[in-house]
Amino acid sequence: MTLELHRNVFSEMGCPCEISIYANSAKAAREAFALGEEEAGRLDRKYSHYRSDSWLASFQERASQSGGAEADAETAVLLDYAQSLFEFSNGSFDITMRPLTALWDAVRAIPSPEQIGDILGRIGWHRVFWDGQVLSMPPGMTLDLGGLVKEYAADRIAGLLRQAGFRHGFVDLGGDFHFLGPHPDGSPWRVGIRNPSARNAALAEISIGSGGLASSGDYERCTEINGRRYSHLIDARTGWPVESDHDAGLSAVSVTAPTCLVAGSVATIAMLHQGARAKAFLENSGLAWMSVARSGSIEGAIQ
Amino acid sequence: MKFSPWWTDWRRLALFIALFALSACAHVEPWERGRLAQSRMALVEDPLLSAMNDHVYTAKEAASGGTGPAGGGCGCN
Amino acid sequence: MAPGQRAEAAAATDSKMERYSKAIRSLLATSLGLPGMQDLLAKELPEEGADYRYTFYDEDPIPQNRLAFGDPRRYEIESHQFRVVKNIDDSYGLELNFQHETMSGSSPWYAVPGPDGPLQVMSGATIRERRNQADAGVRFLRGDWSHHAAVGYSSENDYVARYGSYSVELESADGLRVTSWGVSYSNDEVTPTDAREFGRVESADRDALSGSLSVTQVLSRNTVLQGGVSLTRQSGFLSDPYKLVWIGGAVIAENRPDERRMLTWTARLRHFVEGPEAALSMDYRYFRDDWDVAAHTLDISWKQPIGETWEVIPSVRYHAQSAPDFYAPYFLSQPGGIHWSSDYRLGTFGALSYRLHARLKGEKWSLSMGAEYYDSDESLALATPHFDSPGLVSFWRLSAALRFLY
Repeated sequence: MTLELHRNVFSEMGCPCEISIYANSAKAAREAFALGEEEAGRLDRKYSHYRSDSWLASFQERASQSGGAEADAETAVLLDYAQSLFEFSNGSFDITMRPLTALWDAVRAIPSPEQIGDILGRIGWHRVFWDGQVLSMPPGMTLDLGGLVKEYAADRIAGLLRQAGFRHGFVDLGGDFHFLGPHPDGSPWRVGIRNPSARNAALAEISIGSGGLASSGDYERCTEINGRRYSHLIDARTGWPVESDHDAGLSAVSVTAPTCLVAGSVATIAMLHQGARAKAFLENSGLAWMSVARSGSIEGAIQ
Repeated sequence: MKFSPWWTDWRRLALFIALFALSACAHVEPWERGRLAQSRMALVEDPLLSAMNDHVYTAKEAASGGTGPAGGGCGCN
Repeated sequence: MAPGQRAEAAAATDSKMERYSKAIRSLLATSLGLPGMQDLLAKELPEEGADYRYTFYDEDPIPQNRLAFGDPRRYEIESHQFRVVKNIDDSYGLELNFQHETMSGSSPWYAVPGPDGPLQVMSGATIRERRNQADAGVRFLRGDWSHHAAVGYSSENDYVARYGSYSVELESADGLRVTSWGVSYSNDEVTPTDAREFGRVESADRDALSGSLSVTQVLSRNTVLQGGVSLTRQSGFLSDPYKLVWIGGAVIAENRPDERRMLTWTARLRHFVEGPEAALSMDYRYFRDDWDVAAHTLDISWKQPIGETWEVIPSVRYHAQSAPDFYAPYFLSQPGGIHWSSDYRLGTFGALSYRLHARLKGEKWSLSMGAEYYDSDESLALATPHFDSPGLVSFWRLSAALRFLY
């Protein structure tokens, strides 16, 4: 039974995706790819905030009606998880803050304090009622699970592949990875972390055998206003983008953890903290991490 | 001899089923299962000791089994 | 692996988890509730390692007042067991077992009437015998299914046994229940020593086919319960070729039925006791067969850790059985039926054994020592014994074991 590497590239959740696995037949590999694409599609249709026909859109609708909406098992755990992150980040990570992100994406000039204050008055997880089963929120509030679903999908697809018997390979959903296991000879996968300032050059190479790998960075999506770059990561407490436009500001953080979901959350929270606080947070977590500052200096190591 | 197959052993079959009806109430979170994973909670913690026990007791008593698939035979007397 | 053990075994024993901050572990724990997440942390095959166990078994001699004639010194056995478990990759595991035993001593032959009850006649010669046994098994995992197949062979100068088994386990979606089905077959051949001189059968066969079903259920975070049932059919030459029966003054070979159907019900409980952080273990077995033997066996042990490195395990076992109609220590006149045996192991009796084991644990090894005293007596039976059984045995068993993980 010889294992061969099979690779499938596809597009889902608005980003380039890849599933690479070692299988002993092309047929088995095709079945795996179908499984992966189907699951990615299912989660996108369910939770995408870009689609007005997504399940999440109707769930939000029902949640703002009297009595609220009852969440299914999968959504319930995602909401519990989002709540943990909200508490963990002291309110900086908040899945109700879509209007804030939209505001900063659209402007040409810095929004006025009134504009920000107006939005802050209408959003916030503290305004949501969630008891583990029923979600109830004021009308007009929306849920943006974008920061969780892609990482969750990588873990979920990896879990399905593992259940189907695959042990060597990885799932890559736009830079959120879950590695099922190293190459059959035991050697790890090599992932290049992109250099923010030199588009096609790799900044560093990570060797990883199994587990989740996720990165948070703002070099690709920032807003430039009056010559200053504003991160697309908004701190839900202040309503402002995180302060990263200085030498010590972090432009990207990569984290590994047993699951991609946790790796992604930790990377995002580190980016929200910025600076020395981020470093302390990452070191304290016990996970392996790497960060790139605006100046180009690299800290941390993932082996 | 008076021997009837297990499915007619009503009282014991009922007890067996009742034991598992109770279990429908269990709700144990994945992160709460650490205790069950400890070796002292295992059904068979020491396979060699367990095999030796089976061997000794089967050789000296009339009853046998109940500990897993048959293994080994000897002319023990 | 039992329910709950898959995901948490990895999480609990993965040393990396200990380095993660409490907050991270809590996030991981929450995310584990998502469907399919547990599979990602599952390390499913049993731990790899090598084990060795030495056992010294010594039966008490027949008391003088119960001995008719013959050598009262009973069996003394030394046994060496070896076991190796190796995992090929995440889905396949191999197990190899080897056992070497040396036995000597005289054994009960038959009983005769005496002034105060039956007296035991022992075989004169002390036999020194060697037995070797080897078996190999393979375990295969796929998703929620786990398969196990094994074959084995045991050989001594008058007995050869060949056996094989196959079982499959299915873990439920919530990981709280494992259902297991198994089947096994064995085929043995006995070629008694000194057959012609003693008029024993020269060679005879027996075989056995057995099926079992068990369900293991997590009842709470501290408790696991397993219930099982098994049916076995033995056929062929089931008598002991060395055993005789005294019938009205004549001594002839015993004659058991050539078929035996056996049923066992078992229940096993493992319960974690929070205060002392100990595990309470209870195993119960009910046995019945078509020879009319019925037996209850209860084995209770308490596994108490002391500090990080020691564990002390006291345990007690009680066994009670009732005899078939064709058993008696001797028969004054021809028995009614066509079967007869005076093998004390078929008698009505109860047995109590007390054990104490201690284990010393290192990171990759452990050392264990144990002692047991077993005593059987008619007065310990649950059913009313009709006869005294002078051959009932009591013994000491001492053992030491070493385990290496790699």
